[in-house]
Amino acid sequence: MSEPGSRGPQRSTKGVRAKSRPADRIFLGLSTGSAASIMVILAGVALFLIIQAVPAIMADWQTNPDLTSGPTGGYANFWTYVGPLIWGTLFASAIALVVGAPIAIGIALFISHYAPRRLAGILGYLVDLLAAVPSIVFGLWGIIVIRPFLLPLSDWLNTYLGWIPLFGGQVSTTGSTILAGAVVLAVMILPIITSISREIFLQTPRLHEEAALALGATKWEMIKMAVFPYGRSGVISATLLGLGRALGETMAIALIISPAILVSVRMLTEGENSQTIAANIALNFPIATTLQREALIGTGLLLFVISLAVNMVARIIAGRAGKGALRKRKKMLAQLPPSDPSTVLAVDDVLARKSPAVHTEGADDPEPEIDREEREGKDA
Amino acid sequence: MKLKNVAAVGSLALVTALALSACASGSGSSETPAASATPTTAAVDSTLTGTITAGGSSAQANAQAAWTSAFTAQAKGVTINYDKSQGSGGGVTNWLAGSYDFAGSDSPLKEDQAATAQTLCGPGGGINLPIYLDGVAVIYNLPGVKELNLSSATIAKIFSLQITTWNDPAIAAENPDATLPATQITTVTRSDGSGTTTNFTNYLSQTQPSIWTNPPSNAWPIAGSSAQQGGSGVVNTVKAGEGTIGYADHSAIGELSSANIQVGTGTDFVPFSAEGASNAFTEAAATVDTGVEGDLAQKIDYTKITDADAYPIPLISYAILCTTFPDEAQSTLTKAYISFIASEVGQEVAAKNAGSAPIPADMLSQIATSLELVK
Amino acid sequence: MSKRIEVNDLNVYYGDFLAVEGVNINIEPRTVTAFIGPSGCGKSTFLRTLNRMHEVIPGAYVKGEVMIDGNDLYGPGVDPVLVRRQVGMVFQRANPFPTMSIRDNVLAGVRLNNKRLSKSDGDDLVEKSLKGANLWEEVKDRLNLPGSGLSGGQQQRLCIARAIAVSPDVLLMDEPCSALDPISTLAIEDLIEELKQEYTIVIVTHNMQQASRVSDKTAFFNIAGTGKPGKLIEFDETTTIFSNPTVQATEDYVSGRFG
Repeated sequence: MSEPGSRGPQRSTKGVRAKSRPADRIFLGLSTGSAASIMVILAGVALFLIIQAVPAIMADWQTNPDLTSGPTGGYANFWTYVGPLIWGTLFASAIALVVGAPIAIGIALFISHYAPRRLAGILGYLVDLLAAVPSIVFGLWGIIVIRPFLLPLSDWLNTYLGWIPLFGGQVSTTGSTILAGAVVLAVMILPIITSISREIFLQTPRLHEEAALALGATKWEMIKMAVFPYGRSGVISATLLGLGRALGETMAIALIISPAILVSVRMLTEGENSQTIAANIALNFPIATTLQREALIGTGLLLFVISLAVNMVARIIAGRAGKGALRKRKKMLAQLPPSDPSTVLAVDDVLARKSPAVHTEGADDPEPEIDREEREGKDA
Repeated sequence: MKLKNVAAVGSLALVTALALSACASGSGSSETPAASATPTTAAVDSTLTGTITAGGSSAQANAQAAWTSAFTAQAKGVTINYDKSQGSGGGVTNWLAGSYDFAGSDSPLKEDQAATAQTLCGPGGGINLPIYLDGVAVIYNLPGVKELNLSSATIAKIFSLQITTWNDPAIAAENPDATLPATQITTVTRSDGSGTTTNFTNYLSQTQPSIWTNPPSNAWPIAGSSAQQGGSGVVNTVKAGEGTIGYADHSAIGELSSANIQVGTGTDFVPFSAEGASNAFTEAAATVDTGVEGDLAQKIDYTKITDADAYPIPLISYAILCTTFPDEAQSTLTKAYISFIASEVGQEVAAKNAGSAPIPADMLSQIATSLELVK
Repeated sequence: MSKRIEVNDLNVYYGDFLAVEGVNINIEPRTVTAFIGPSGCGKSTFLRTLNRMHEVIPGAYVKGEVMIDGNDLYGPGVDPVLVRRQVGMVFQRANPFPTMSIRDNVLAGVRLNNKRLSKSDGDDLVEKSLKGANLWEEVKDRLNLPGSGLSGGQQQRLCIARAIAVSPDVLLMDEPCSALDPISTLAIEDLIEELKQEYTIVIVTHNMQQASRVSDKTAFFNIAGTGKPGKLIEFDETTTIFSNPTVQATEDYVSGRFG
């Protein structure tokens, strides 16, 4: 690693390089071990879930006495049990995203581009603080504050927009709806989406912002022209990370929502809120028989798979948003006559660009930081 | 003299536990609880030492806390850990795995669990001892309606969503003096599996099999209710929402109004009372023959509850333990604790602190007999 | 199209800090004016006050007047956004919007003003602007490719095309060639020569040969020391500044004795 330097003849530097450094080796071993343990843990969790879940997935749900009563009673097989749960999990998370993501992005934008520096600092700190609130506290807050708070809104939506299936049905009198749960979920995913988006917005190259402003863009137009295109993929990844959080959230959902295991799109009812996987496990694990526990673990396996899938999609999107432009460009370049000298140049240019990471994709300007420094230092 | 001491300790523990426990029933008073009682076997050997590890039913949790402080006030060398976080199912599972000295459970061992218990406890197997008696209260929130009379048929119709408004003729017929609004009824049930649900659905399916067609279950079987986590979730939701009706352990309902339940098919509507639950136990509980000597698993025939002084929806919870302990010291210790629980003093302590009903004396002496079999 | 710029007693502040002091200058229409001077002398800051871009930095403000054909840029009720639509700017480093195609880059400014632009009008404007920036022949076959795929010099000419597409009165250039190779620089300089026919151009440059090549008039800025405000030292015909300046500091600078 280290430069041989010019201190002595080549042989002695070789000697230095070959000298064993116990601390280096130990640290290398430790960090390699830590890295490997990630794989082991992930594989271990997956294996545990699969082994535990298989008996329940294979069992006959209509005759096995362990499954025909209690929480698993009345289902033809594992899949008819878990199907509505998957729906509920995705539905609750989707509402939370629809409610929470725009607010989170708005907060991030305010912090990065609108708020005075001191206020931005305080706000950023508060948002981070929000992430430290335990979910049980959010759950209790949801029961005591959010549920009654949403009742008038629910009534209004049901009365005037009840023809939309989302707002239809017998409106709840206690507020124990999937809407209330999702609103609390939305608050819970705010910090993760906000903090990642904020970082990305702050990294928007000053050059792009000034390019827009110099064309006579208003602040909002500048944000649309320079900030959003630059941060788009990062914001999408942030949102999907928020989705990951929402999918697995347990306590708040279990406390707030009055669940039923069914597929429903209604958001305002008492009895037609689709249950989520995580809350269902938490609520039924204590009383479950052995086989019922295995069935619950089976639902957990599917939640694990869904979460992994969401994470992977997040990564793919994060990658593609940067690469998509490249791919499109390559495709179009392929249509140019090969004799066009610009084709060669441009293809080289395309290939030379590395696939960008979450934080830097879109940064076509190679050194935005330097530029900013220059810019602020200049003439000062 | 000795008995008097125990009673004094009991009431002392009661005061302490009252101070500690927010869930204690409102009926706590400072009168000596055992004044009129004739305790059977309540002597606690103060030289005992050791740790009892147990867990399970959350319905028992407040009573267990009261028993623990009363017991350890005398046997100072004893530590008792009762974990309610796992619920009845988790308690039995952990006990079957050998982690607990006894399990608290709202339902007795099932057949396959009893078979597993034989590998844990030896051929004698495990025994179910009914140590906790309470009632399922039907709670409601209907401003202006202080008293509500309900028959089992009406309850079954309400909870199966066949009656949907409060001014339904069926309700009105049972409450001629009440002004019933046209409010929508919202039934509030448990979203988590629960022994309370088992008892309540058992009651409904036995008394009204033609209306309530679902089998007894620890998970609420009908979609369309407001399902809440835990007894406290049900209580809070009923408290917060007008037009709601739910069910919960009587000991957990706090200030909420609970309905008077019709006994049998007669004209008597009975509010919950400790004596009412005890009377119902005497009337309707019968020991099931499980083939295990000393086992006192009870089967309640709700249709037999006809006495005008009996509360129609009693709730029983058990201590489940091995007939043969692997460790003799642990056996002595656990037996001593369960004996205390199953004494009249122990039952009084629970009644005062956790709002439960006392197990009838006859059953207590049967429990004492069963405990003698435990080695 | 092309307009006169008249600056009277302009002071530029960043908060409490006086960055540029007492500038008086008259810039004629259809001329190229070069700002030269050592680093930190305030020439870029001053340039940015001509389209109020300095206000991007919080706490920045000016005292004095900047008149464009008699209208004060800093008069009450004047919207900086509208000012910037009249006074275009090209930056030190080419900054096309990376996610936009070449065509969209050219039309970016126009779309801010006029959301509904028919396709044929757009095509015409793209062609006219790119031709105006001497870029048309090089990119006409790939207008839908991202602007970031062009070479540095092409990108800078794309930025010029984007700036002139909105038909500004004045074009400001902040060291437009400092990041370019000599051939691209030459292309830009040729372009400036052509653009002068239609626009009032102000260019900041560190390259004195460039200033003497492209500009009609040259303004020399200097600073007395760190923390002192930058000042306009001398403003005259470019030939005069480079051959026979009246101020000693100007002569020292243009002859390479300092800076």
